[in-house]
Amino acid sequence: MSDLRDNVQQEFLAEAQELVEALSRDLLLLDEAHQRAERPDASLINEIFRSVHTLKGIAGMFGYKHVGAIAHALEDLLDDLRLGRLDIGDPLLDVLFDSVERFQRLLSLEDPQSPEETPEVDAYVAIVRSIGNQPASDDGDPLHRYAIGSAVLSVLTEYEEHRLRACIREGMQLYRLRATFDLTAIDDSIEALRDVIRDDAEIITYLPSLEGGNDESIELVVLLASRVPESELKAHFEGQYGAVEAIEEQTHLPTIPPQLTSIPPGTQSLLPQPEEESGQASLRSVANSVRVDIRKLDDLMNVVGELALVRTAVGRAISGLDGDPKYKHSLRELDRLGRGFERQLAELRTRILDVRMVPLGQVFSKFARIVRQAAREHDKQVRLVVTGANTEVDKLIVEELADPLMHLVRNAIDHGIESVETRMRLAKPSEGTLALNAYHKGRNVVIEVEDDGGGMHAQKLRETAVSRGLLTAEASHDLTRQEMLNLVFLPGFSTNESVTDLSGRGVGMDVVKTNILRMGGVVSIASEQGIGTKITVTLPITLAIIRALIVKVGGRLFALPISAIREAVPFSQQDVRTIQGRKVITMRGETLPICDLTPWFGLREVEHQASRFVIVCEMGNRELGFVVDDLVGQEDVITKSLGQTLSSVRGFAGATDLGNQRLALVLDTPALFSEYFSSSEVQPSMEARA
Amino acid sequence: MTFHTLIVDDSSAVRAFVRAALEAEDFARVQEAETGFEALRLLATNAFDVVIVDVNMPDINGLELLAFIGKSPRQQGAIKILISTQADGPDAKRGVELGADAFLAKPFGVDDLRTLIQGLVHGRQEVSG
Amino acid sequence: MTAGAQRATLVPDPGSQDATIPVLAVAAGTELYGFPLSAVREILMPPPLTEVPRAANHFLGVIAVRGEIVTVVDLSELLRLEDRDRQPLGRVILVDVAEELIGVAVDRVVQVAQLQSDQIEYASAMSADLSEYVVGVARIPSESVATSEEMVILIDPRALLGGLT
Repeated sequence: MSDLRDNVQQEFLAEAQELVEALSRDLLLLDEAHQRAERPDASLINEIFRSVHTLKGIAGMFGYKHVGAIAHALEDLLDDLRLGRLDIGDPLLDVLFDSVERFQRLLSLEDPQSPEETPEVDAYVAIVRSIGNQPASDDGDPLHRYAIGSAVLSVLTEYEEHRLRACIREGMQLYRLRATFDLTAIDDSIEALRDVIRDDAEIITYLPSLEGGNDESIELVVLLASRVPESELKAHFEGQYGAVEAIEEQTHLPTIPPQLTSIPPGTQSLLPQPEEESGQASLRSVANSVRVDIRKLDDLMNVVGELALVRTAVGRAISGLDGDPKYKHSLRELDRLGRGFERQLAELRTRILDVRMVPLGQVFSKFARIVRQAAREHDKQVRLVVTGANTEVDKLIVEELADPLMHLVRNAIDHGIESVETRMRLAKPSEGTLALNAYHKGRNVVIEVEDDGGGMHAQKLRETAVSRGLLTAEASHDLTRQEMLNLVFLPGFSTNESVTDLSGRGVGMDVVKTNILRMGGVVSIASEQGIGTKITVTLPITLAIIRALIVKVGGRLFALPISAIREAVPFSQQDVRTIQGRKVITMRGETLPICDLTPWFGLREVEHQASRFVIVCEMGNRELGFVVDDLVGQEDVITKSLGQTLSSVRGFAGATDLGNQRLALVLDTPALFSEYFSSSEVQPSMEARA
Repeated sequence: MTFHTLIVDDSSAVRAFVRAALEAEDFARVQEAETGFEALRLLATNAFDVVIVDVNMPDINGLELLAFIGKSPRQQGAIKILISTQADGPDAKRGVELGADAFLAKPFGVDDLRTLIQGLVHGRQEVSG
Repeated sequence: MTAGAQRATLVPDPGSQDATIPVLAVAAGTELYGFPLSAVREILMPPPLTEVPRAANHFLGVIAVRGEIVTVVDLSELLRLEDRDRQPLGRVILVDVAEELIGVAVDRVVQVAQLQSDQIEYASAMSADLSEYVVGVARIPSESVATSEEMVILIDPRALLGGLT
C-alpha cells in the first residue's frame, strides 16, 4: 500500500500543482469580471469548482488531509456559487485567493498530515463556512414545461440541471442538435463545434446515443440553450453538423423524433479550425498535451549537442581528404549532405527549445492575489491589467523571473500608486492601474511593469544616493535625469525611509537587476513625476543555448557570453594607467577600467604573446574590459552547472563541452562585474563612463 | 481471472491510483480514458469486465456514459462502478437508478476498490456507497 | 540498481544472512583505501581535466562524463597525505554522494574485496581518534609477494565528500 502510494505520489503532486495553477488563473479571470461588474461566465465558475472538486478527491486518496479539508470547504461554497445559491463578493474572492497560497504551501509540506497545521486549517475552514449561503429563490421548476424527455433528464448531473433551469429562466430557447462523429477525431470535432457554438449558445451536455453509430462513429445529442432564433441556428449548423431541433415549451407528451441526419463518418474532422482567441479560453490548459520533466528536455538537448559535435568531427575528417583530386566529386556531395544535416540539426534544436516554452501567464497569475492583498493592506485601489499573458518564454526564465517581477509589482503598489485620497486630490481616477505587459521583440521578450502612480523624483534620488555615500556630491551634479533614475539600481539604495511589509524585505532593485542580468537580460526605468513609472525588462527568449566567445586565459579556455560583449580590441600594456588603484585604459576618449583575468583568477602568466586582447563588456550602465590572452572563436554553447560542490567558487556560471573532451568554463559576467566593482570602494558607473 | 477494466476520470492522479491499485498481482488489466469521448472510443472496440466512471466530467458526464454503457450490447457483461466525491447527492442516486452496480465515494482506498469489485463479481450483490 | 546503491554503507544489514560487503580498494600514496562498491558508479581512465581557478587545492578540476560535468577531487590531497610526489593521474572513480556524482582521483585501483563483517575492525570500537570519514580498517590479501596481507582503510564516501567546498 505504501509502495503504491510512492509510485503514484508524483502523479498526484504534479496534478495537484496543475489544479492549483489553473485555479489561480481562473480566479484572476473571475476577479476581472467582478471588478468590471460583469456577470461571470458560468463555465468559468464551473471550471473553478471542478479544480477544487478534483483536488479534494485526489487529496483524500493520497493522504493530504489539510488540502482535502480546505478543498472540501471551498467545494461547498463553490457549489452554492455555481448552482446560483450564492453571489460573488469581495469576502468570497478573498478566501478563494487566499486558498491558492494555502494549497501551495500545504502541498510542499514534508508531512501532509502535520498536526501543527491543524489549528490554522480549521480556522480557515471556519471562515469559509461563515460565508453563508443565501437561499435560492424558487419560482417553480421551469423544466417541466419543456419536452426534454425523462431519459435525458435522468442522466443530467445536478449542475447541468441547474444550468438548464438558469438558461430557461433567462429566456433562452432549448435545442437539440444531433450529429454523428468519427470516433477517432471526436475530440477535435467537438472542440471545433464548441468554438462555433460559443457565441450563439450554451452547451448543456452531450448525450451519446446508440442509434446512428457503429464501431467507428457515434451519434451525440447535444443539448443547447440559445437566444439566437431557430432559423439562424439552423442555418449555422444544419448540413454541416446535423439536425437542429427546437425543444418546444408545451404540455402534451413529448416524443423524440426518430428522423436522423446521418453524416458520413470522417467528415467531421474537416471542420474549420477555430481561430486562436486571446483571453479566457487560451489561458486554459489544452487537452492534447503531455507533461514532461524538463530534465528530459535537457537530455534531448544534450543529444543534439553531441550530434553537433559528431558533425564537426565528420567535417574535420572530410577536410583531411581535401586537395586529393580523386575525391573531388565525393567531397562536393559530402559538403552538400553536411549542410543539409546542419539545417536539420538546427531545426531539431529549435523544436526542442519550442517545447520548453511556457506562457508568461503562469507568473502573472500569481500577481493577481498579491495586488489584491497589497492594495487592501495599503488602503489603495489598484486594478491589475495584464496583456500578453500568452507570450511564451523558456520554462527556466519563467521560474527565475517570478521573484524579480514580484518585487517590481510590490514596489509599484507600495511606492508608486498613491492612496485613494491623494489620487482624488490630484484629480486622478481613484483606482490606480498596474499594467503587466508582455510581448516579443525580435529574439527577446519584453515585460513591462507600469503604474499610473506618483512617479519618481529624480532630484530626491540623487540626494539620497549622496547621503548614503553612494556617490560624491560633485559627481552627482553632472548626472542626467536618466542617470539619476538609474541610481535606484545601486547596491544599498532604498528610496523609502520606512521599511514596509511589501518591498522592504532586504531585496532591493540592485538584486532585481542582478537577477535579470544573470539571465542575460536588461532592465530599464522610465518615470514621469505625477504620471507614473514604467520598468521594462528585456530578456532572451531562451536560456538553454547561448552564443559565446571562446577565449584563452593562462593557457586555458573560457567562454564569455556574447550578450554582454560590446567589442574586442587589441591590448597593449603601454596604454595602461592607474587611477585610484584601478587599472584603466582610454578608448575613444573614455576611460575604461580593465581587469586582467590571468591574475584575477590566480593563474600563472603564460609567456606573453605579442597580442593580447581587451574584451569590453557592458552590464547595465557599467563597462569593464577583461584582458585575455587570445581569442579562439565564437560558438553556441550549452551551459551546464558545475554542481553543488563547486557552487561556492565565484565567477563561473558553469562549464560547456566544446567537443574532443575539451571543456571551457563559462564566465559569470554579472558576478565578475559585481566582484570587480565591489573589490575596493564603489565607483558609480557614471564616472566610469564620463 | 484478470478483470479487463476501464477507468474514466479526468484526473490523472485518480487514474494512476486506480491502475496501481488494480494491476498489482494481475488483479486487473486497466485501460484509461481521460474524457467521455476517449471512453466512447474504447467502448466501441473493447468489451470490459469492469467500468469505473467518475460522475463529474466535462462534456459527457459519468451518468450519460453509464446510461450509454447500460444500453450498449457490447458491454452487457460489464460491472459499472460510479465514483464521485459527493456520496450523498442526487447524482449518486441517479447513478444507481441508471443501473450502476455500485457507487464509491472518493476518497477510497486500494482495498475498498478491490473488495468491491470482487464482491460484485462473485455474486453481483448490491453495494451502495 | 540494487537497493544498496541508494544508500551506500559499510555496515552490514543485521537482518541479512549474507553479510558480505564488496569493497573497492584503491591506492593513494602508500596507503590503500576502501570504498563501498555500492557507491561506486564507474571507474574511468582519466579524461582531460579542466582546472577550475579559485577552487580549493583538493579540487583537480572538472571532467565531462557523457554530457554531464563532474567535479574531480584528489584523494591524496584531500586526505593530506604527506611526502607524496605528484603522480600522473591514475584512475578516476565516480562516486555517488548524496545528490551529486563526484570523481575521486586515485593512483590506481587495486581490487574488489569481499569483506565479511567480522573481518572489519570498526572505528567505533577503536580507541584511536580517527577522522569521521573512516569507518574502520580491514585486512585484505596482498598483491605483493612481500607480505600476505595489506591493511585497507574503509571510507564513508558521504562523510568524506559530502558538503565539500
